[in-house]
Amino acid sequence: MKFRSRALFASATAAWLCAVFAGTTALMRYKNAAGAQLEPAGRWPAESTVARVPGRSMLVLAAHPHCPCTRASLTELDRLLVRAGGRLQAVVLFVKPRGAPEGWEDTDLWRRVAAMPAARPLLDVDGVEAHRFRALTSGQTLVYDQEGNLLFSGGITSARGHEGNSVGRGLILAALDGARLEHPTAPVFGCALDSPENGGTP
Amino acid sequence: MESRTRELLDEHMRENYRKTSRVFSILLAAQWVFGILLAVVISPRSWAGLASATHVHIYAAVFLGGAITSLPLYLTLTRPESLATRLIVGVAQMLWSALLIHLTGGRIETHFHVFGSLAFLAFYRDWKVLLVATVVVASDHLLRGIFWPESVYGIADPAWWRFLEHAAWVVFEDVVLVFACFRGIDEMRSIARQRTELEKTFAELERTHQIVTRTEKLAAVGQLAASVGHELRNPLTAIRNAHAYISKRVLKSNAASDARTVQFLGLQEREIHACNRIISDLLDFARERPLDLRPCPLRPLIEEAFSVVTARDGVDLVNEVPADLPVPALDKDQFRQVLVNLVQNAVEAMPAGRAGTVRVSAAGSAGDRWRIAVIDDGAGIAPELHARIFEPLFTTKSKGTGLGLAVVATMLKRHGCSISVKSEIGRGTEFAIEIPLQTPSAAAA
Amino acid sequence: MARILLVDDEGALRVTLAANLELDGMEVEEAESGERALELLRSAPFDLMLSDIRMSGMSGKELFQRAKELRPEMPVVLMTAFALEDIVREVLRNGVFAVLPKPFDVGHLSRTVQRALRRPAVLVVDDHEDQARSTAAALRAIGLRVESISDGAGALRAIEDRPIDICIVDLVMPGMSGAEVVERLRWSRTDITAIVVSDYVVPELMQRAAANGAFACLCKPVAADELAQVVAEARGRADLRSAAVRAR
Repeated sequence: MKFRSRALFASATAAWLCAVFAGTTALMRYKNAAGAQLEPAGRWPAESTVARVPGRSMLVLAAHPHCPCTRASLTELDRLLVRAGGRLQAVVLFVKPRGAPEGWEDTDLWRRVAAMPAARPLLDVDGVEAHRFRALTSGQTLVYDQEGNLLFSGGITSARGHEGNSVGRGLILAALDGARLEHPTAPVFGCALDSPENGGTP
Repeated sequence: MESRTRELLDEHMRENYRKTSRVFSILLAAQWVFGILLAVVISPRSWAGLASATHVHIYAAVFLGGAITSLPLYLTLTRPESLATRLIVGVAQMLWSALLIHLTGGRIETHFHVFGSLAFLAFYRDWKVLLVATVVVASDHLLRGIFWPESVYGIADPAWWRFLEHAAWVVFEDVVLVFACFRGIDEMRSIARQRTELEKTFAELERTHQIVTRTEKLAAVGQLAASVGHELRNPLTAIRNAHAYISKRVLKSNAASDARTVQFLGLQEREIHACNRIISDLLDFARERPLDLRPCPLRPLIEEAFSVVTARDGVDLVNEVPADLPVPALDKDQFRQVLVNLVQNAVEAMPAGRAGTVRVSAAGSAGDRWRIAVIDDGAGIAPELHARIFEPLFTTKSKGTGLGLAVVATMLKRHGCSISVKSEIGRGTEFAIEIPLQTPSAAAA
Repeated sequence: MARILLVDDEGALRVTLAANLELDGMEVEEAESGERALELLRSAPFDLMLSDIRMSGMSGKELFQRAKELRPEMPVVLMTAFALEDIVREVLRNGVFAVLPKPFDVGHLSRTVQRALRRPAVLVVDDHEDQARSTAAALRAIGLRVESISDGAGALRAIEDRPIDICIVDLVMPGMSGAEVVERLRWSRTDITAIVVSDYVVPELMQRAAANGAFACLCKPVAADELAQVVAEARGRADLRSAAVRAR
């Protein structure tokens, strides 16, 4: 190889490595960028119309019906419910913003929740319930015990749209087993429930 | 032979690199297309309430995927054999594993792509590629484990050995694959070795075939020459007889006064003799005369040979054989023929217009080797021709059958003797005959 | 005038050869085959038979053997165009006068024929008398005319008055050595060919003999048929020098 083309080749490879590294880093940062989360209330909101099942801890998951990343959250929810073994009853709030067309909420996510034995989908028009539960991001999960005390509030995926073992899952299961936790929270990864003009960030 | 084996091995390995690179060029391109399709199908848009935007995954698939594929695809198409290409392909393939895992939302099944890719890379049969690929996987793990540990282990503070658990599986596969690589190379080496052997054998076969063909041709020519020669003898005898009769009658009659008649009669005789000489040359070469070994004093034999040779003006024939030389056992007729041919050759080698000498000398004794040398100071023979002059039908003269020295070589071989030639252009030539150890009484027995 | 039977199936050769021999004053009867030749042999006497070896029908070799039975005293000269080494060797060892390879010089043939017509004898010279006699007897059995003598001086005297053309001389003899005999022969009669036989190699004597034109040196013991072969070769040998002179 002549010297000139050798130098050219070396610089091309270096440029490539940089591009790839930069791209990968950008993707990683996006994947690990947590969504907005509010400090939750310590007890089940009194004004909530969500029915509670007596004798069971309740899990509320706020979801955007179209968010692809929430698929991972639902997979994790499924696993979690299996691991919880009947101690948990889940309600998935599908937030339908005002002005959304007819059938907008009827997605594969909804059907998936409908198929789960220990969970049921609930249409949350205009995000009223989600607001009561202080959820801003799709995938925000809240767990309350039988008395209505908050056990956990956070996300149950390890990264955006990424299934697999997560901090949230571990904390929830520990709490169900009776552990007293200092900071029962985990980052939430997902699309914003509210439109940008209402403060939501996609 | 070792170097040829290495050559063939290198060729084989380069071919392997080319083929594998071609596979990867298709694979990398296909992965890019697949990645884009995945993003489009699974996660086309991200949302905020009613507003939606193109999902980052689409950008990732198109641009990051394109970036990952770009350089290796170019290299596999333009420089498929080079080491740099292989290493870059290795890096790119593992990066694709990572990207695909992300595009599919971290599915366990997609993680299999990592192990599958390593196995694919092993097709290069180059441990360096596997090493680089493993380093990429490890660094990805390491860096993410450092900066975003939850994404790797699912818990905030993973135990330090968790990294090892993941590493162990990769190392396990690496070990197996590297072993397979070396095995593969060993096989290729033994194939190369076999091919070298085969090449050698074929070359030998080709040579032998050529020799056989030449020998067969010579034998056929010899047979043809012999039969033609024999057939010609009867007619030639009849012509000679008729000529003799006519000659005798004419020379006694009035026609003898015509100068041309006399001249032509002489000419006829000479030309008939020339025909005879040519036929004898041919037949001597083809003939297998059994040896009658008898004690044969050399000096008188050389005198006889001198008397037969056609002399030339200015060329002296000198017999330097000592009279008291012991007596070897030879076939007199055949050996005389050898000497006649050699001396005749020497005489003809003298360039026109120059005076010269042909010397014949001999040395040796019973119980020792004999050496006869025919030395001339004529034109000499070029070194590259030395091996060829004894070949039948080879001659540098414009006339002659080219069989004289071939006959010499054959006859000497039958005697068990050897002949060598030393010559310098312009200085002269020396033919040396070596007669092996023998005593006349033993030979005659 | 000598009567010669000429046998050859090649017409041109036979006719031209016959003409040449007649020019030399011989009477020639031609036969184109061995069978015809035998017919002629049975019906009339001939002084010499001259035949080709290779012929269609009966070969020259067979003809020679049959002729030997019919006319044991008649010298036979054979000619050959083909190098039938084994056959030539065989007839040489069986008492043929000479074998001439074709094409031959007509003059040489004529001289050989004339030599044969003189019915020359071989003289065996050996100081061991019984050896000389036994050699002679063996050669006679083959069909040659042989005489024997036991000293060199006697040999030189013998050649004066008898038709001898070959001298087989023992190399080492008391008194006059074989080499000396050869030398003396050369100066006295040039038409005698010497063949030297010896128990062991004595270089000096052999050189001397060869320098004086001895045809061959043989080492004892020599089988009778090999000796007969050498005799026939000597009788058939062309004079090399004259052949070369004519070629110039």
